[in-house]
Amino acid sequence: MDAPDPKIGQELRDFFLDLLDGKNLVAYHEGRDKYISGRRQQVIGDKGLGDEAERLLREGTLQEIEEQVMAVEGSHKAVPLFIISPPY
Amino acid sequence: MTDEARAAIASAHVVLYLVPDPISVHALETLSPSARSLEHCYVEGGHRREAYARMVDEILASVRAGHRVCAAFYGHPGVFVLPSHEAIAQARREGFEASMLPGISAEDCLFADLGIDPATAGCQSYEATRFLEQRPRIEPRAALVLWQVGVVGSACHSTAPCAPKLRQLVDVLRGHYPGTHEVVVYEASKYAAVAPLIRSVPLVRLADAVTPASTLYVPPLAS
Repeated sequence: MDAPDPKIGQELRDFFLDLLDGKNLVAYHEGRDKYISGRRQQVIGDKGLGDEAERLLREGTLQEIEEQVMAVEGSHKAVPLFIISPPY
Repeated sequence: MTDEARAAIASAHVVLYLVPDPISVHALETLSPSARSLEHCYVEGGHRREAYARMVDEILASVRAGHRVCAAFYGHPGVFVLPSHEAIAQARREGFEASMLPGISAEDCLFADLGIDPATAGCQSYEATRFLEQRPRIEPRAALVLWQVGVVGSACHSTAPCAPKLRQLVDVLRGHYPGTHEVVVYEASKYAAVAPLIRSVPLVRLADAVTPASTLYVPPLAS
């Protein structure tokens, strides 16, 4: 796999942040392909999806997507391996 | 995040959080712009218990300063989260009101994603390191969930994968299940619209499939 690309990570991050809006989440559940295609067409604006981000949303694994999102500057406050329970 | 949790975060004077993905960070900081991470409590290579104690200290310091405090943890704040329980207990001992709001745990996601109803065969649930050290009696005809299998045997914080006793865990499980028994390495998705990680492997191949954030699901043996 290529090294994570912050630009792709940013596109994915924006996509997921927009899904936090209830209206967008409803639209997503009403039609996944249509919703992603709609976001693809916004690529001219600030929050569109490029080719690789779209591919990852359609067929990427959790691990692949997570690596890209974590490459975005400022992601340091979230670390995938936070364990908050002891070994007893 | 539940509506009640959202309201608790938005109405708190001080919000402290520990979440594993930047989307959650953004959501929390949108609700509470001054929210701050407890990430600094971890020290690479340090014992995790010390990190948890630092979290409790930081939460309680804000409580003692008279603030309305909300500590937000990913998943369910009371499931496999030591500092939340200890902070609440300590606050109550000092005469402060404290309560916990439920969330959605990895096990809740596992039941949904794997299509399992724990009512069908029963379900045993253990922290992997505790399971390995204490060897509780298990019932192979019921399901078995082992949490934190990706860090089994490790008491220290590390951002790198570290499960030094995974092979030993497999040996123990082979005392109850055949090596060919199909187990599921599971990781809930942190993102809406992204599939969880679900890897079915024979028990003997477990080490090939485990990720640092994995939960292990062992299906019941046919009775």
